[in-house]
Amino acid sequence: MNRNTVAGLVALLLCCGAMLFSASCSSLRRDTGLAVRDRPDPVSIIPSSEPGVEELGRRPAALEPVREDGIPEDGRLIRGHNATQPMIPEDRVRLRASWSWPAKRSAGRLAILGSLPPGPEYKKEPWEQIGMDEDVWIIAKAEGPTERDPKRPTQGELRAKREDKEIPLPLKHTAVSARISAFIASVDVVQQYENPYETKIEAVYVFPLPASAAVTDFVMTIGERRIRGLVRERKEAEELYAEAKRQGYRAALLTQERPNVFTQKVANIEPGKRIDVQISYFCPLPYRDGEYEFVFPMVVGPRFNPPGSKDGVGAAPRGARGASGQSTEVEYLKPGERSGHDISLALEIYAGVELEKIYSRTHRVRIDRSDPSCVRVALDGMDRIPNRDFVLRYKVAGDRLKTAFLTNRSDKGNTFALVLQPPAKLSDTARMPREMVFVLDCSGSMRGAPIAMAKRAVKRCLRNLDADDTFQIIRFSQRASAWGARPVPATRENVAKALRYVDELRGSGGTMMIDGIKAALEFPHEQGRLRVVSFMTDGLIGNEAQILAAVEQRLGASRIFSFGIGNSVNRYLLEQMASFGKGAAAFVGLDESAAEKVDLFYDRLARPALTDIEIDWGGMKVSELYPRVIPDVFVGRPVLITGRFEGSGSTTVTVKGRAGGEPASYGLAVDLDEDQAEHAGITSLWARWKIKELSNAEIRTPDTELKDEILRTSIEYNLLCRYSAFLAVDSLERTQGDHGVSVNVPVPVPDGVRYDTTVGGEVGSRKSEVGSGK
Amino acid sequence: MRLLWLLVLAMLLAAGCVTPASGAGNGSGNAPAAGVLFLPVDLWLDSGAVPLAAYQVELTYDANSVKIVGLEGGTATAYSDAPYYDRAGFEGGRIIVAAFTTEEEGAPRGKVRVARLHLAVAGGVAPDLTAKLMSAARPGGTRIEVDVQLKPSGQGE
Repeated sequence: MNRNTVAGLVALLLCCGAMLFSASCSSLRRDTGLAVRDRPDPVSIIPSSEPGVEELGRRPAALEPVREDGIPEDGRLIRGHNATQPMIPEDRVRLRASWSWPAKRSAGRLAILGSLPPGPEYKKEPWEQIGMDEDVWIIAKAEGPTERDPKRPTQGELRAKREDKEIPLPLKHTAVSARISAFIASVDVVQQYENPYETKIEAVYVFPLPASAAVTDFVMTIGERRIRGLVRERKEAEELYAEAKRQGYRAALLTQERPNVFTQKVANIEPGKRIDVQISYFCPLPYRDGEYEFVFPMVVGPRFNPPGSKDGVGAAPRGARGASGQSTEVEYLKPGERSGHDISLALEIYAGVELEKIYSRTHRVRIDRSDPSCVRVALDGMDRIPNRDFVLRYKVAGDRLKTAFLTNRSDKGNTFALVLQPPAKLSDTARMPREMVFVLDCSGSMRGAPIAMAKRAVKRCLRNLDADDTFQIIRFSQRASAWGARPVPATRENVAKALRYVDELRGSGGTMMIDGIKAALEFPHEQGRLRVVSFMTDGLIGNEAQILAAVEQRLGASRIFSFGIGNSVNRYLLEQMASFGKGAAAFVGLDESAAEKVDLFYDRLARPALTDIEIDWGGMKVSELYPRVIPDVFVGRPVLITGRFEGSGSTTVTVKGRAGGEPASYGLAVDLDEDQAEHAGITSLWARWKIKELSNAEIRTPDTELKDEILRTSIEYNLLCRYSAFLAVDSLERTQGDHGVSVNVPVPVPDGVRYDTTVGGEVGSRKSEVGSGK
Repeated sequence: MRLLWLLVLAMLLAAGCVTPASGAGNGSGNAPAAGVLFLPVDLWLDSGAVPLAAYQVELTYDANSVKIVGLEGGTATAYSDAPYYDRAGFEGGRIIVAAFTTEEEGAPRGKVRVARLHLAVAGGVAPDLTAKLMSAARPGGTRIEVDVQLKPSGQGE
């Protein structure tokens, strides 16, 4: 299906949709018996230039009655975007749509089909991508040829209009290209800014990157001219940027608000003109349960900030700048609103060995294996809405990591990265009796599909507990509460009671995670059991440092295993909680099977880790190792260690520790003169890891010397950190006129997250009370 | 090669290279602050008849008054992309700018602009910027001698 097809059809949908809208609703009520509880806001579609529309399969049997309403046999179910309407109950699957077109320039119609009661065991297949709170667009079959309206825009994907007002935005497109070699990804992100207004603007965009990303390069492109930015102390960079902006020079500033949240500002974009910004970073790929995982986050979820907080990451409705009262603020599109911002992503994997398996559960991808040395992956043309993390997983042939040791020699010294794997025999070690503490995030951002998945996960765990385990359940939102006074044995009766309790949990209110942590960690630990505290959350809070400090202070003998649930979770927080909590993190998207993930995760954590690890580096003279304290290593969860080294030739690194109380050790042969000893990313990753360690130390004990050391490392290794910034100024010419106004780039709430319970609901309202912004 | 920036500044201002923006807008808000002046400066290399395949130039300056706020490529196709840099030390005041081309045919000869530096000069102080060749090479890697010059942008094109 080509772009003209889509453009032509959707233009006609726009014309026909409104007219047929109400008629369709009423007839559906009559013919299908499906309840249309409320009539949603009028939302129409404008043309798209996308080459195709994702087809999910034939319409579900449950919609068969709809056919009587004139929908043809050969209609196809087409994936659309989430446009949750707050007035419709969350336990209904709502369908909005029309039908597919067989030929270009065909007409169709727009209709609300109705809603389906999913029920507790609702099966999504064959339209498995559709969540309980998602809308589905079914595009109409042709009713006759027609001409496309030439006045309609043709670029972008399906975009919504409300009251005939488009949402012009300065960010048009994000192009991501990545190259993976061994376990290192080198990623370029190009953000294309274009001024759709009649006056000059400054574009401001808050966006995510992986928390482990070492941002090393920054280039501003104006026409054919490319200007490389330099990293410098943040305050100085901000002042220079402000001055350049004031004087009318084009400039771009990149700052880090959190390890995984960044702000891009581009000043003096003239009407109709375009400025591109390229951000480059290196990133290690986690190796989890036999698979490498490449993640590219696409949107910062709406975060909760506790009362009194000013330096959080706030959420505000589009156009309500300052409403959150936080130093960093993300504006969100309202339900049904869409921007023209889309994303493309291309990935090259040079694994050096055959890939047994490669897949994405979050996006449709095209995989090209025609080149034996490289597998190319690209985001499908119709899956380009940046509203959820892109996650690609792949498995190389064989069970073990193929590359576990990489080095880089440069004028800044020699650095290495080692992936430390547990010995295989760990997986045969007996399970220990556990004290399981399940901590459920029941806040507004979890409402709907996320809380449903979290509940399924907890129930799965409860059913799988051993008879000699004990358990406790804690829920938190605005406050925390426990199911029982203390952990109870996992008897059949207790589990049954707990299942009923979990069934009744609902998502609403704020995210006072600190209360959840206190409730989970501040009761006596029963000796002889491994206490496992499992947080099930999206992590959408803005006070990460406070949370991590609380974990550090209260951890005791507990281990924290965080389980991220959602399509755009705060991975930084969840991974750090696990790191501070001497545990591990796992993530499950809303399109994945929670059962599979949960079973694997809890099976892993049930077995003892390789603990008390010491490393004999053999012929390597190592220094500045990170992490400074080597964490316990769990089956299926290798740990990355990086450091400086001196030496040459081959040597054997010996890992010693204890497994199940018994001594354990194994050796790893390494070649310090390996052929490809120029993995430039290794030095950047080492420096990034150093900054992470210093930042963690700062969370534990704020110290100006730590800040200085972090900044020094950042400047010396040309690496972005919270105390530095990348700045690029074009001093060649000044733009005409005033510098104009600042325009924030609003983003959609993540797929699966409800606007009404976050930005526009309880959390948003409360945030407004806290903030003073305006 | 050192430029006496007091003269350069006077020259730039006189020549109108740093002209206040005209047209709409609030004039006062657009005037350069007394504190900071933004200036483009070009880096020229002259390798004579020998093709220039790589260069490395060290720039030294007073970090208190001069900030490099952007590095841009030059006119020669081989060096049109923004050069890479390595800040030699945390305190600033010294930076190494470098670029190379792997295409022998694309290596330029003679006098070429290889880079443009975007500067922010603070306090109305005459900046003192020095460029020194660290190394240059012809295709194949043989070191060559080249002449290094810094010029205000727009001059010497």
